[in-house]
Amino acid sequence: MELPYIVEPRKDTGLFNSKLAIWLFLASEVMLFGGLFSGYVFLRIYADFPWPERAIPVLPGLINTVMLILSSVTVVFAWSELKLRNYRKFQVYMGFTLFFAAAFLGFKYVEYTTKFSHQAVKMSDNVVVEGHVDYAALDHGKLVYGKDAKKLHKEGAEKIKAKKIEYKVEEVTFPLRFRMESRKKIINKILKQAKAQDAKLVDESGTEITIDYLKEARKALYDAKKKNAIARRDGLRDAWKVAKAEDAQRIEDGKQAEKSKGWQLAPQVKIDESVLDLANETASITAKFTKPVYLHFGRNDIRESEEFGILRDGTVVKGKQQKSYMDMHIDAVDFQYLAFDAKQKGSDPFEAIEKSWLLSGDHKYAKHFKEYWDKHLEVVLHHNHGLQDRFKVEQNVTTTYKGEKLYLPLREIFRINWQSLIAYDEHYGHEDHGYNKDYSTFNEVEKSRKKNVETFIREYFQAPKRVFPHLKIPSKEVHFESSLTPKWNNFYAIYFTITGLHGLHIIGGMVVLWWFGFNSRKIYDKDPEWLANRVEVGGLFWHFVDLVWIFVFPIFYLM
Amino acid sequence: MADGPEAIKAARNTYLKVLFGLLGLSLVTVLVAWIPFWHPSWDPGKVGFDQVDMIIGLAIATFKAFLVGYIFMHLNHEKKSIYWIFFGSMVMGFVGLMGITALAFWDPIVFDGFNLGEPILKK
Repeated sequence: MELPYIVEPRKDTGLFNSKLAIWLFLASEVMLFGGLFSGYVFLRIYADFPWPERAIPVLPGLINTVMLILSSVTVVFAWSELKLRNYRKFQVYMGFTLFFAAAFLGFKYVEYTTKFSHQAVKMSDNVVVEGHVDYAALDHGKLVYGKDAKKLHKEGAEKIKAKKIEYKVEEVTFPLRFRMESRKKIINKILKQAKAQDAKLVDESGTEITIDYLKEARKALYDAKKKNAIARRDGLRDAWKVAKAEDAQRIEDGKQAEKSKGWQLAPQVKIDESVLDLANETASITAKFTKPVYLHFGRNDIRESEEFGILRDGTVVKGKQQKSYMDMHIDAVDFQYLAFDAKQKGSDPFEAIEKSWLLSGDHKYAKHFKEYWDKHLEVVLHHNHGLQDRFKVEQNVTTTYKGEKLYLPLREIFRINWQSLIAYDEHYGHEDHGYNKDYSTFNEVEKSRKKNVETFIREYFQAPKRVFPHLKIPSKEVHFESSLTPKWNNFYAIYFTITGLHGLHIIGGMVVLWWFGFNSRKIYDKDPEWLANRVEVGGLFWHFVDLVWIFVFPIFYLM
Repeated sequence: MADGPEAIKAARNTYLKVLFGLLGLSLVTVLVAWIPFWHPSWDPGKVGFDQVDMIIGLAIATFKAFLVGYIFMHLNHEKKSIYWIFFGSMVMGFVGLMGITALAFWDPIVFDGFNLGEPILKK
């Protein structure tokens, strides 16, 4: 079949059909992305948290901008080569386009995975720390952290992300409401942990709890419910019969003029449940461990309390909550949330920072963090004096510290980023971060760099690059934790939505351009102008994707 | 539309110029954003990011988008119907949808939460 108007323009529109079609499609795309950008503006205006300005490293974004601009040029060059009927050169340019697109996706992948692995914790006093979660290990079922964990890992113990909540459990109650299939994961986790500690979970009758046993119990519950419903219905039916017969009897005896209505009889209709043969409806099964067992749960899987915890599926574990921690390497300390909160309450953020758990709490590294903060304040004030004296900045005070006006952006004042942490750490020369000496510190790596390149490479790539300040946050201090994903805040939500959708457009565009470039020789042989038109249409889509990125880049990386 | 071989070759020169223009403007956008770090008093508005920086950044981005649309997407010689389709959607997408956000800004949606008695303050 011959497709109409793919080379020749249609008379009424003056365009070949696919061009009109792609422009209509692009129009819908403009509205799609327009809606999302509008959503971004809305979220930002109404943000009830300090919006993370310039939180994403600029360089990967800039490189990606360059990649897309280059690919835009190569695609338009590919089209012009087709117009000049140079098929080989056309393919070369198409190849470059695909290469740049792949590079774009590569950088995007690195950016995304970095965000996914980066942990943020908001503490009860609104102090935010960011970093990477360390690993804990199990010592006879109990979670251990730090050095002890490292020792066990060397002996081959399993690595567990150190952000669990631990209980010493004696008793578990399984509600039977929900289907067991959907709860297998949770129940098996409990049973597996118990098995590892040589404990069994047995109910009152002495039967060991298994998924099949719970399934049977659930079936018994619903069979009993069904049986009882039928028994109640039949009992009610009989009661009505009796009531109606009594009513008829009263008319016969002349005590009553006419037949009673249903609603008049209803109060007399009663069933005696003790007479009915009702089965026992057991709604839950309570089981005890043969000895107390340490169980750990994901923070999102349990609602905590001192004496018990409720899991997602309603299972209740009874027992003492243990001291559990989030064991982290801190690479940023963010007081912006605290300052934001203090401003709303009308209190002084700097006082609140001094009082925070991180700086004055009862933990080993409070002193270190106090030193970091003092040093940071010193640097902030130094910069502020520089702004006043050297650059004569006199307007737009952002906050005041002990009566002194500060002009730096709040992000610079209230956030200690990783570069600063390293610098302050070197200043104070902390060596003990809770780790063995054989985990080399940044200083040592730097020294070895001076020794020779070989040792540098060996130490840099084999040992952890750098031990950031180490912090064990007790579970009760953690208000909210998440990796830098949509869960953390709306900024990441809209960031992943827009860039993710944009990335999907890149992938789609790559498939189409690859098809045109490397799988369309037949079309070229039949009518080169047809292929040229196809490439032009594909190119239009590609330019549009570039056009979206032109806005994404400043909005997410620079603002 | 550049159709003859000569016209296409001439157009390719333009594409290259636009390429360098776009790369240069990208760099300028980044430099403008980093002004506070190398010369704070040149930073328009507040030190650091503020509305003025936003307007400059978006103005440059809009000009870049214009270059891509006008030259690469051949809007410099296109049929009238395409202008109608594209700019129509722009009006809808940006003016219309942003307008809804702006409307919410002037006439905010206020929600006091579900607490009926004393306001619950976080500690």
